[in-house]
Amino acid sequence: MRGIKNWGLISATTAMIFFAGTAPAQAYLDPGTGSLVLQAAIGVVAGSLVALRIYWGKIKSFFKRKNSRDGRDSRFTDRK
Amino acid sequence: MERAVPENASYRDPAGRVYLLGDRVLRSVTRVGAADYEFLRDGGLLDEFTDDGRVIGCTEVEPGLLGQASDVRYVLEHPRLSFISHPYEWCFSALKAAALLHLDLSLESLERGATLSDASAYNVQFQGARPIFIDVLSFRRYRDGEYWFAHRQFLEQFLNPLLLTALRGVPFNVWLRGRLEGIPSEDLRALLPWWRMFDWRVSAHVILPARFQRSAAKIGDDQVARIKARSLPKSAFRSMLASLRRWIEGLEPSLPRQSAWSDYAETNGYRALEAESKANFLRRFAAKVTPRCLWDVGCNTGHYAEVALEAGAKEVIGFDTDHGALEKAFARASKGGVRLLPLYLDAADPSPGQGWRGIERKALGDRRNADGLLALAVVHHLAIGRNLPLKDVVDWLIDLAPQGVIEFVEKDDPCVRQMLQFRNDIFPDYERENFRAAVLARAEIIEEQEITANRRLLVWYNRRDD
Repeated sequence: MRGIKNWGLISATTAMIFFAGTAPAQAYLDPGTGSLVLQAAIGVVAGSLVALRIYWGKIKSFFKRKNSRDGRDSRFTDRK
Repeated sequence: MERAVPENASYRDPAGRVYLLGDRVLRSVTRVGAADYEFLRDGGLLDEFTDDGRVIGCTEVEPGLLGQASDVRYVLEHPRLSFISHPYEWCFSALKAAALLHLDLSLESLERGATLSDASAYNVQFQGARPIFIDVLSFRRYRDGEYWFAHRQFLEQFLNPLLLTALRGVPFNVWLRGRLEGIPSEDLRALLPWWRMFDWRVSAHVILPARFQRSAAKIGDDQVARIKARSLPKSAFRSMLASLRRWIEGLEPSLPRQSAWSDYAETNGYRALEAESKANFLRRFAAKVTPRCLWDVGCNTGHYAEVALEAGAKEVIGFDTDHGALEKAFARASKGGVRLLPLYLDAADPSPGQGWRGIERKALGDRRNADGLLALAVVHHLAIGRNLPLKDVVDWLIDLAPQGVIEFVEKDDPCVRQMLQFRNDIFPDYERENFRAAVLARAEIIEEQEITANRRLLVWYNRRDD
């Protein structure tokens, strides 16, 4: 469980470092605070989903490795 | 030498503005907008969009045409559109088509590293029923992770008006005319029943922005900093655009199935022979006059506009107040490639000058471009339905175009009898001879013909411009 939390934190931090300063407030029209709060929230959710997907991939590959080490029938585990 | 005059509707964007030089339409690209314009031009995106007709064509011309303005880097010339319509004059399907064009251009631009800096519905115009995007300086480079800054404007200008009609059955036209910025999410939210919150799209694009906007006044500096530090991943930006596109594509106007006039063409009491003689009269008129732009006041479903187009008119702008009829006319124009643009207009209360200083968006009278007029079965709606003096009605119509056809419906016609069934007849002047006299005071009568057993009269006038 600790793993998931860390991943979320890592990806959020990475995203913030990566995007900080690259998302400029340069609109010539007022974007409206309501819309920006919404989009910031969407951004966080989208970021978390990406983090979850990466983490899920890690879990899958972990079990795949484990399975092949256990010498299971590779006809089932190697299917893509 | 003629001087370029800045267009009043174009000054908000520092990237450039539109000028009129005689008949030519020019657009300056300033120091602020130059790099984005070059990106768009050199990447081929602009050519791609203009070649398929979705964005208005533009060619670079001599910058000196605009005089010695120091911060002008480029001057572009656009083909002149024959008529500028306002979004509140469009029917539901037209606003929907404009919204879809905006989203398509946004989605395709995003794949090519560009985005749209605003989402004003006034950036879309129509040629017939075909929408065309006219503000080339709206495109600019996309920066990874940036927010969709025009989201709120898109909601107010496109989505909220469409939802008002699709979810509540209220035609958006008069509401949109009431506020040029568009319909605020807060206003729409107040009109939606509570159970709409279970529709996640309504939640995401109406309820949440409205709620966040309301609490925006209390937002602290630290929260502002946090919002600025966050970002919207490109994939999330794309899915916002794509989900709006899917949603809007499925929206239909929730208007009464049968409106008063949408079935008029089928039920108007004309016998086929009479309808044909009316059509023949119009054919003679259109073939002789070959109007470049014909205004059809009271266009209904566009049947007679189509007759005129087939006979020689080049383009028709139709006006009506009946939403059902306008939808049918727009469908006729979209399907058949008929160059007809049907617009919502109450002739007794035409679109006024609006916006900053009252001149940003022009009144209908200042957008007159017609060289031909059809006014079929409208005089009695104005003279009797709206108590306007017959002579004034005729004057107004004749002012619209130098040549045209006006129909006069007698008082004993079933249509007029129905209008008077609960009213006193306070219209002693409403008579054929007074109508003819009003026409003759301003114009020659080229041809006239009775077309029904009820003595409906068609008059082809040619205005005296003295």
